[in-house]
Amino acid sequence: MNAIECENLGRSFGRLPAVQGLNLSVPEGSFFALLGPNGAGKSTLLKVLLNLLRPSTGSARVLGRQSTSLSAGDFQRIGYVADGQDLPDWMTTSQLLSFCRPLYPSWDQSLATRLAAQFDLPVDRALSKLSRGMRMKAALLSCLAYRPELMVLDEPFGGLDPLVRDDFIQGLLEIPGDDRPRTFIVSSHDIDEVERLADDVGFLAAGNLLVHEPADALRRRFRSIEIVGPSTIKPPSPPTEGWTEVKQASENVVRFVCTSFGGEEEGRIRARFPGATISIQAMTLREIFLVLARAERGKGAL
Amino acid sequence: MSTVLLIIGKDLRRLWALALLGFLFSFVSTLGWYWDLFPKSSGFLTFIFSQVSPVVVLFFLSVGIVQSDPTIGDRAFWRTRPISPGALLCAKLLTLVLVFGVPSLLLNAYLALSMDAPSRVAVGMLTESTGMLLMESLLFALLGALTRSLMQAAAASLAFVLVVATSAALIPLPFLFTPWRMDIPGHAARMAAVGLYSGLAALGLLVHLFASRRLGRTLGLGAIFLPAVLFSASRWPVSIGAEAPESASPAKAGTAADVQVLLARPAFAWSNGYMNDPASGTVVRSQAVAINAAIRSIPPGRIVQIASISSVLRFADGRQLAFERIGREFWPNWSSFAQASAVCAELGLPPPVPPSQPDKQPRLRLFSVIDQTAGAFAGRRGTLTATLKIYELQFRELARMAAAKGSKWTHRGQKWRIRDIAVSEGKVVASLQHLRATSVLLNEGPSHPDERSDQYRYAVALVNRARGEFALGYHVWDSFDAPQWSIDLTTRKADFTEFWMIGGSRAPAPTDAGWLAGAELVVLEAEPAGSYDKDVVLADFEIPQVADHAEAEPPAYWQ
Repeated sequence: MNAIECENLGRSFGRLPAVQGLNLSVPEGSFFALLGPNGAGKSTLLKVLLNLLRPSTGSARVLGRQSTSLSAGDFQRIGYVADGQDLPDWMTTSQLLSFCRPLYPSWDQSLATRLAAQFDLPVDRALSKLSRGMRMKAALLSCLAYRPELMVLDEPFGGLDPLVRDDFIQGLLEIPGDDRPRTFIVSSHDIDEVERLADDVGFLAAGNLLVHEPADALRRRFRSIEIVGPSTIKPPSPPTEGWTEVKQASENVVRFVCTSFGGEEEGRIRARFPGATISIQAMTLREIFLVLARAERGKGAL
Repeated sequence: MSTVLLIIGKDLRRLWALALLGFLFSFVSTLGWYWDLFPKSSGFLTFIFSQVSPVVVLFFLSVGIVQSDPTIGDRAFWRTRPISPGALLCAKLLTLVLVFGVPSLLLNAYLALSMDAPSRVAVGMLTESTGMLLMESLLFALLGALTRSLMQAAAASLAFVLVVATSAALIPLPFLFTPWRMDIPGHAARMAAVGLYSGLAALGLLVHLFASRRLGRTLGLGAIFLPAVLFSASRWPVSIGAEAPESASPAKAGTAADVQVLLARPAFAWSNGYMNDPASGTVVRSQAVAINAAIRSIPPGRIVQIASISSVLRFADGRQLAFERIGREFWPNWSSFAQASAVCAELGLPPPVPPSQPDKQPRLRLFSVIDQTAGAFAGRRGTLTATLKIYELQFRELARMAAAKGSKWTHRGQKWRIRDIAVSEGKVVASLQHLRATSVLLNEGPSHPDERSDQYRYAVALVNRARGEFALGYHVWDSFDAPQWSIDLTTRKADFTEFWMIGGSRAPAPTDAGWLAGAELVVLEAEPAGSYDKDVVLADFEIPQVADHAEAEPPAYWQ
């Protein structure tokens, strides 16, 4: 069962497409990271999913319901925290929780109390007087306390300093399994931070979903490879399928990124460059994202 | 329902200080007027406090209530919480009712009870005051919902005023912008309709905005609703009927025989102008023909005025000229003798001796005639018969109270209070406060907003029966304030300069307050008694030419 399913989903603002022809499914129980640069369409996609914006084309289903027919009742199962979201800033965290509590039959006050302590939230201070990180935590707490089936975090790390960011992520990681929402969707342009959290990863650039697959598979698939030959070596021409960013670093050094690294790939490379020293490096999601983004800019196929 | 209450509680918790300020302004300003608490010397401050501040608070509070959960944009907190647009709107409307409607109802219920307002007037007062307040708050709430900040809402309010003013210029609606005009029938009901339909339109737009959250479409609908409201108000006025009349016997008008008209010949051509020629359908040059005249009732005791004149000039050969009817709108204004006679008649006092000559003979326009016609009939003499529509008023005693500072009288939605009364330099000077429960929702009756000029409606008299003396007051309108929509508050100054013995002769003016101690102040209200026609005939009449009225004529005589 998928928590999210999109079919040819698009959203334009006037003539400007923010999201186009997007097909996506996020299985229940996964932690899906939606990555992409600023302006890629991440927030727009999430807002369309939550019926904050209407889709221009296609459709989406969220927890089995058409996104356009999500109603107030459905938000008892969905949590949403976004950078820049309006909060009743005049309330204290405690007042915010008291206000939210009657709205959710599944509200767990003991969980709220526990998370408030874990997040180290000053519950009697007005939200307007809290730091940005603390405000995000308060908003997160007001969602986690009713154990939503789907938790959507839109750029939750925006504007947070590294310490607070780490603190926030640690907070998310430390939520006990039973208390965690079944499905998480986090959008961010800050890939390093999401790497620790994500099971599944989607790369969005200019409104197009470039890649969507499990993070581990992606990490396994991408390798940065350096070949140092005993004498002059040349990269293959035409380029081998699955190789990108092929560069002649010096006469006897060739570097490239392999996007389809597997068990047999290393053997194939060694056969192609006999006697060369081959260095194969795993890549971080950030490095993979940069490769994808550059390829998208050059419209290269991966 | 619990969600609605939750949101109401949240908004009240946030805006309680402003709501309290709203209550204070509303109650203190209204009751300040009602109990006459405001210092007389602080006019501007009182105006700011009682008239401007409540509107400012109304704006801030209405906008604040709505903008605490923004409708437009995609960042609102409530949009991703289990709060439906319907519940949110319901909560906002109930908060407006709670903050504005309930206090207004309580306040007006108190005013209606303490002013002894008849039940229909009380219903009108409560509905009008509360309805207008809610309509205003709905409009402000709508502007708040269409914007994202107080500044934007303030700018939108200014823009709205400009749009209404422009619409008014494009669609002339005199009932809305010149309601004091007497010749606009049923303007009060139309004003009420504007209020009601504006409120409904604002409500409709709010419902649409909350349901669709589409700013552009809501503005588009608003552009359709605005002229629709103005058109509907002119087409379908709103009223709750007439106030039941008091059980007192109705005033009875006299007959044409009870009225005399003094015509001081010659008639003269008064001015050149233009009029519509019914024969050609074009506008042509014309002249007005007038005569100096006076009018009185026999015996004195009633006030008679001319409402319109229809004249016909007949010639010996059987030809005749019928002139278009001229509306005179209650010509002439009252003479002091007529007023004194009418007041004395009502109070059972001997009437003053009539003057040998009328105290004024203003110009009375008899007819207008096209220049060409006047020229064609120049030099021909005939008999002019002018049929005067006579409109008659009688005074009825309304209030009677001791002539002392602080005295008051309340009955059927009217309250009179003597703010000050003193003997000063050979006269008595009084300051009176008059409160009148009224409602635009009543289409006629004593509490219907009055169309007659105020100073021709009331008269005041001081009567000291112990000393056998009385005085009629010359009263002037001083100030008019409207602390609440449904209460007219007028302050009048009355000067009593001429004193008479009951029985006829003049009495010396009192020199000390002792005279006042035994006196009563009586307020009388002029009441329409009815109307009838009276013909006056001017034999040997020739249509005058401009500036030819120097010709000698027989002396004036009463007809």
